[in-house]
Amino acid sequence: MKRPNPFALFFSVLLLLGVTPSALQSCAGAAARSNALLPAMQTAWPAVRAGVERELAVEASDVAAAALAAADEALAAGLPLQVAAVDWPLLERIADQDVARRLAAGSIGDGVAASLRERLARFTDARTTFVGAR
Amino acid sequence: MNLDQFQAALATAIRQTGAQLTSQSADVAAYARQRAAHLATIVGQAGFEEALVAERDAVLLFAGLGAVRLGDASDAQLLGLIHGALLAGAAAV
Repeated sequence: MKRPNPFALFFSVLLLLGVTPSALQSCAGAAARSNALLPAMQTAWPAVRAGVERELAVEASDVAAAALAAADEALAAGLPLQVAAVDWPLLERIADQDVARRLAAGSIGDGVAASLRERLARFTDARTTFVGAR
Repeated sequence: MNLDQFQAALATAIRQTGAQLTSQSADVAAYARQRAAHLATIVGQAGFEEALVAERDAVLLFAGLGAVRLGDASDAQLLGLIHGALLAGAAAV
């Protein structure tokens, strides 16, 4: 059996000893999801939620109400698996319907509607990134 | 609202969320400028105050997304380093 080259072995062990502690301390992406992205989502959520609630007051839906409650719990818990389980496409569609309804009614201007939709689009980016779908 | 006021409101929001975010990076600053420019064109529209909050939230989310991109890139770099070390180790034994 071929004996390992002692210099190469020494070098490899040295390299691994140097790299392993930083690897253990790392997971910078996960930290950024918890410490930067999640708080931003939690900040934006009440206003997005209010839009969904307004729309549900016009047209009630048990499925959407359940999704809303699940979203509240998931964002409070901050667990990616729980966030991934929420029916976000349904909630975001309803929030967009609220924007369209208010724009048509004249209670918000078109530039304001664009701002509300911009937030909604960034929120969609954020929640898909948070669960690692992007 | 001008850009300075928008950025001050943004900095306050970042402090209040306690998030590890910065509005200083070039891409976040550019996005904030773009959104402030949009706000400047809609002053006086019905619901303007709501737009103000929405744009603040959009910039916060954008900054959070940027932080994740940087974190993921740093993780990928580190994984590459570990992979290289393991390959070197495998070659040695």
